[in-house]
Amino acid sequence: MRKYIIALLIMVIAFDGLNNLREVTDLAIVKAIGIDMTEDGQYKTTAIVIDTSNKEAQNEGIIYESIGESVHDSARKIVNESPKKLYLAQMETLVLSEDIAKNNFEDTLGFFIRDNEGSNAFYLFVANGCAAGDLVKSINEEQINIKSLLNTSAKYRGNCNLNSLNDILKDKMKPGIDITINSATIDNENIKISDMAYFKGWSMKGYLTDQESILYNLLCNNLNNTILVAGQSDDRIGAEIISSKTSMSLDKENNNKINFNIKIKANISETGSNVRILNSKQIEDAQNSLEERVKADVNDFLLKIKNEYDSDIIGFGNLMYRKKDDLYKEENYLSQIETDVNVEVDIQNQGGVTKKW
Amino acid sequence: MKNLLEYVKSRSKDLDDIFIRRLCVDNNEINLVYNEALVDSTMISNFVVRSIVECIREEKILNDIEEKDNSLEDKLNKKLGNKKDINLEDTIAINKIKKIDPQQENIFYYIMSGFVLIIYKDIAYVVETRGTLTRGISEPTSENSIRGAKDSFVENIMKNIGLIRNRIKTENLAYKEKRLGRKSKTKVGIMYISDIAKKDLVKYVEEKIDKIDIDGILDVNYIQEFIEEKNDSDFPISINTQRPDVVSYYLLQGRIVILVDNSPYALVLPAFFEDFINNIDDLYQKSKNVTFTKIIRYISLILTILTPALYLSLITFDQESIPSELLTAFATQREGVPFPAFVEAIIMIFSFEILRESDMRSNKVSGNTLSIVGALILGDAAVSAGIVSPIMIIVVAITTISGLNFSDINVINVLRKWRAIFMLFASLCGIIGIGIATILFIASLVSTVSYTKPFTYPVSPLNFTEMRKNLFTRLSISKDKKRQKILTNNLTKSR
Repeated sequence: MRKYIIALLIMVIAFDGLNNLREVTDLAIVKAIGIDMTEDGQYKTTAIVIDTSNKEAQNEGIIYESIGESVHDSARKIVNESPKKLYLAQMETLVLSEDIAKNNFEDTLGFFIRDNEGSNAFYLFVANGCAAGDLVKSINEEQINIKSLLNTSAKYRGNCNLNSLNDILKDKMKPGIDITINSATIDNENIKISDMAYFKGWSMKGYLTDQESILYNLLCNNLNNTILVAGQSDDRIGAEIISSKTSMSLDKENNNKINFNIKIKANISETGSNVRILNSKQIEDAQNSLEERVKADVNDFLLKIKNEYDSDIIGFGNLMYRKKDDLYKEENYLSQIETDVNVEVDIQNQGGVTKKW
Repeated sequence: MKNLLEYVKSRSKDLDDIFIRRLCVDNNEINLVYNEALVDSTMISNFVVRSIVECIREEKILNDIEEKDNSLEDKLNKKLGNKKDINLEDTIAINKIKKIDPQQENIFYYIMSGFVLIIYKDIAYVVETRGTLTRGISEPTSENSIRGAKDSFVENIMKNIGLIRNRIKTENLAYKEKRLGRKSKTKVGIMYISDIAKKDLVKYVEEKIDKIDIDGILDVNYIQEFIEEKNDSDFPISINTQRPDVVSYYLLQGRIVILVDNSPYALVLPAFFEDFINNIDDLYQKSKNVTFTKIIRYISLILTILTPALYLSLITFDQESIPSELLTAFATQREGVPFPAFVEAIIMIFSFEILRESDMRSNKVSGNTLSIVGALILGDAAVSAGIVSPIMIIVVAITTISGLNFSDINVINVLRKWRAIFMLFASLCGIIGIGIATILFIASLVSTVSYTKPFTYPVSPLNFTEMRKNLFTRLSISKDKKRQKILTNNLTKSR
């Protein structure tokens, strides 16, 4: 008797799963989705679906476009053109148009967060200066792997980061921190990773500059590798940052003061003709000038965040929240914060004439 | 029994292969009864008949040296009639001769074993003149030996014992013989090393064997099924092997070996799960490098059970668990295949099992045709025709190749069965189904008892010393100084 009960239980569990049965050939695997807002306030969804009908080498995906009252509605309407239902779990990219990003995009994301079939591991982009649909079409036409593009840019330049929707939502849940999203643009019909968009709450305020994007990633410990130049033309010292670490702490005496401690390891990659790096004194000089450059840039950037951007993307408020400082609850707390930046550059390698290989 | 010869004749009415040779000497006669099929007839001519004839001739020459005119035969007859009984036991030039009492012993057992029955004045002697009905020792066919000994058991139990005794020359290697089978009277031998093997296990096995009552025993598996009667598990709890070196290795561990006449396989018990994964050849290679080999074997064990199930669950339920490029590849390959993935998998797995089964059963001549047809039809034509996807071929190939790591037919059957169970559960509820099937598999594995010993030893019950010795790594033989506690009470094996 007990045997049969156990067998029955197993059957119940097992057959229950049949609900979820779906053949891989019945799925329209979505690679990327772009969402635009039409003039009459409707959502326009543009989706790339991987074309599995051709067994030869990978070719262009199929583009579907539809307009609906909600994101889900417009996405579901695609079924009328596509023989298969959209399958979002393998989606890599979601592109939002500037309109949507600027206008409280929480509700737009809602569908992707709530949908239990989809994942939250895709990358978000803001379409910088073009429609999201055009950007998505362009991704398809160029056969570009935007994931790799983002990866390479983040790894070797640092003007974007690899935060997926999950990471962005995690940041959003924390008090006293504002989010940023990567952006992409079409430049001469080529897709290009562009400057990062910064937000206040769920609404986009504007774009950081290219330089600021890198500094932002430096301050948030997202920077792997980038190029740093101090001085000009013949006096320039070019260095490649190979690792960096930023620690942010509240000053012990002054509660409104935040200290940044930035440690950078760099290799000298090129110098102007007036610069000679031969002895330890000259290395120290080079380090100092690099330090000054970074320090000045970071100070400018912080000043701009405090006074101009009015968006706490670095997370001052979050630091205060953690240290039980209530200042972040006040309106305009950013302008009351004082900052102190301390930069240490350590030159690891200044290069030599002979190479071992 | 008044007249033994009459008795023999009456009983062998239907036995045309029984031959009775009559040596007539005066009033007395000597009758030789033997089975033509089983004896070596040159041996009978050279050592039995000639011995008797020469003995008589010698005595005749000594006694009647002056009688020259009569023919030799007359003289013989005359002489034999007058003189007292000759003692056959001293006369015949064959080592194994025995006087038997027909009342007590079954003379036909001897005749059917290749003995010659000599009836002289109602006294019966049996002389062993067995012909060689067995083949010579050759290489093992079902187990491959890379650099170990190349000999293997044959159908003759005495040769098999010889092969083992050749390796273990101690008087402590006990051999207990029993004759089982009402009709077949097959020799069944139990071997163990008396100062290593556990007494209670030996007793247990002997008792089980004593209880066997059956018409005939044709293979060692007959014994196996009798002594394993309580084994409900799918897993084999004793090892079948063809190799004397494997048997010797297990004997030295304290295991018990059962040999059956006419079966070229020995039965070793108890067996643990790791024994079917480990190979004796590991002992003949450098111990450090064996680790990798062993890990490969465990991986292939998992692969051969799991691959089709995993594939099914990934493409029918859990598409989000794989990288999108892989999913795209799967989807592209599956495009246009008319069957659901489960049916496709079943078709391919079954065709491969059929191919494998017919490859095993068919003779070697048609085997080549079979493999060509199989490779062409299953590998290529089925894909071009769009009946199955190429990825399914890869899945089946991985499954089959991994399965080839295991040579024991019982293990292969278990793996087949569990592969099907895993596939069924995977097709019902994906990865969760594989989880359920894994629970069932592990439950089945750990509930197996091999002759009072836990089958999954040394993993459960946990024994780190033993795991280090033989599970994933192999301890150097020079450092392995203790026997396994589970198999013997006599632990120290070297200093």
